[in-house]
Amino acid sequence: MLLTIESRAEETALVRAAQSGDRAAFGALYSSYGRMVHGILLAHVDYNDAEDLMQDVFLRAMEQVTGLREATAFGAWLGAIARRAAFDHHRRKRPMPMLIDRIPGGKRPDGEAFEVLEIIQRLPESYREPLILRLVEGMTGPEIAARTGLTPDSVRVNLCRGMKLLRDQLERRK
Amino acid sequence: MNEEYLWNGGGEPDETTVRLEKLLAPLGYTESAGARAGAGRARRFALAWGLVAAGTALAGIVAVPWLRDP
Repeated sequence: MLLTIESRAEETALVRAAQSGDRAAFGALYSSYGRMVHGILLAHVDYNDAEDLMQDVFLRAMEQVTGLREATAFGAWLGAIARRAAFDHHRRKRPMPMLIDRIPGGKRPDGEAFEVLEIIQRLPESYREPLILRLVEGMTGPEIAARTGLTPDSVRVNLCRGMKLLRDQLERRK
Repeated sequence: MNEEYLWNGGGEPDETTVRLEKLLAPLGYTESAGARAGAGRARRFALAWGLVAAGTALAGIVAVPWLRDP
């Protein structure tokens, strides 16, 4: 869903309400930005850790949201918190292979999905996030730009270049 | 590759993009998965505290006879 002017205004109101301590408003922002945060985390950490870190990111955001000056920059600000959480996670984590068995019940995608995800995670950083947000989280390019605060041109270029690289690597794998 | 389809889902669907979308979509975020992750974390936290409590109780049981009978 592309953010319209109305929904942007609505979202700004939600951010302001969250800043004044409205938990329900923060819950609505969680629902609205869940896919973006999950996608950004998944570009940096393994699948199971991304699900765990979601809680940390929104907890940090809830604690720090009063310090956000520009309510319209909420998406970019939240994205930065997610990247920092992933970075902190790598600093304190022991290397551990991804275990498909650890996936919570009811959601067991096949192994090929994880193989492709790992290939994407090895691509240059600027391509990873847009590709994961597009292919895993199901966001469109304009939506990625609106949510993350990146320019549509840069998202479009990185999506196309990343996809080309991903295709090449998938071909080589055959 | 159909760039328009990759960009906004418009135009002629691109075969590889559609295949990857279908393959990878189950790995995406859903609110129920988020709730499960939260519940999983709470369970692990409770288990850790349970183990600490059980260990402390066991240490107490073992230590009491030694303290009574120097």
